[in-house]
Amino acid sequence: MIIIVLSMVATVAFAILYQIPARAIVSVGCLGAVAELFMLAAAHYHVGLAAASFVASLVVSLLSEALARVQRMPVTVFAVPGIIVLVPGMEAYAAMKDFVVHQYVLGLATGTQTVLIAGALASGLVIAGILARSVWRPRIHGPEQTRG
Amino acid sequence: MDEEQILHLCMQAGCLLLRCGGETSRVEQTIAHMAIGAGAAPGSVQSFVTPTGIFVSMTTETGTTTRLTRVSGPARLDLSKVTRINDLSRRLKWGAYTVTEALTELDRIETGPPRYPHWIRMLAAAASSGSFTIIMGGYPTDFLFGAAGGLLAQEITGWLTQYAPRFFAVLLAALAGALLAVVARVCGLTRHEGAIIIGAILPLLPGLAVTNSIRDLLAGDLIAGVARGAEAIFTAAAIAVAVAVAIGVSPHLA
Repeated sequence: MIIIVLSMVATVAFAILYQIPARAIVSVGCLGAVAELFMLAAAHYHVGLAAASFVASLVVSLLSEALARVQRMPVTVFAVPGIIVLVPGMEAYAAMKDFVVHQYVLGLATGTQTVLIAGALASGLVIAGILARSVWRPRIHGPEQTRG
Repeated sequence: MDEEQILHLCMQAGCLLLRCGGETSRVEQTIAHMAIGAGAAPGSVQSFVTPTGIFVSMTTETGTTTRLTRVSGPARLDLSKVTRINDLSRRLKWGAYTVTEALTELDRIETGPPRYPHWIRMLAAAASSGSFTIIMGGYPTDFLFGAAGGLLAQEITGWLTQYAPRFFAVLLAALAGALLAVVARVCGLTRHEGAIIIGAILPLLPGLAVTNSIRDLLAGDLIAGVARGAEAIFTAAAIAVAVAVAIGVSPHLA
């Protein structure tokens, strides 16, 4: 429970560093909580970190696209802080530590894990972006004028 | 319809949007919307936006006028301003603003103060770093060290980006935050220097660069997408080097 509240605090505070509009703060905090909930659930049911990160990032990005249209704000306002609690900080740190103490094989293993998680995060963003572009765009933004 | 004025409006909005952290695809789209809102024929205004420059050209019966602006200098990320310019372009397109009014409003957005004053941002850096430290497995007392490290990192980048390239600023800021954690460990104040380091570097993470890069690539802006991606990778590498240095010196401090 405390972890969920802390992830909301971390997300909102990170968003303030990017100067997001005040009326987005509540939604951004909820996004951070959703992301952390997914990671906690994944840990509980022993789902792999990369798979969990992918699902969490996909859900957060889709919610960001939806919120952006409801609140009429750029998607980045929601997506950037929303995925921050999913960043594989511990893995990246462990990999750097292994390399520094000459445990190269261990470092490669954790490093690969880090890259996989980061890739999963990015894929979630990509797929949500594609879905949003093909499903929602024409209705809200009107037809594109200059591009065929 | 005044050609000069339309191009001027598009350029002003585009530059400001790019400086505040808007994706290049958003800048191109905003320029197209604003041009139509200002009375240009659809498709007569074309733009090509890269992270460091904007080309806008307008074609009428009398010929083609082209403007080019170089966008450089440190970015002042401000998603509130991005949102306001977005609103402005939408209103202009609906006809709620005239071109002159839009230019005045744009000026107001550009010269206006940041959404949150400096002390709130300092507090936010400390709060996000401290919270992240605990999420990453630190003890409640480690909150303080994480918060201090994050504050330090945030202030150092903010100050150094005025004088040095961003990568260098991030490198030194991450080094300061990580060294603080290592010193706390050496003094026996904490057992989770890893969690503190991760918390401290949180404000430096290139979150916006990654997101913008992906969104630009999806929109077909390949040059901008790759350039932003490179920026994100360089920033991440700078952080990694700083953390490696801090871990490397830690045994020699004891």
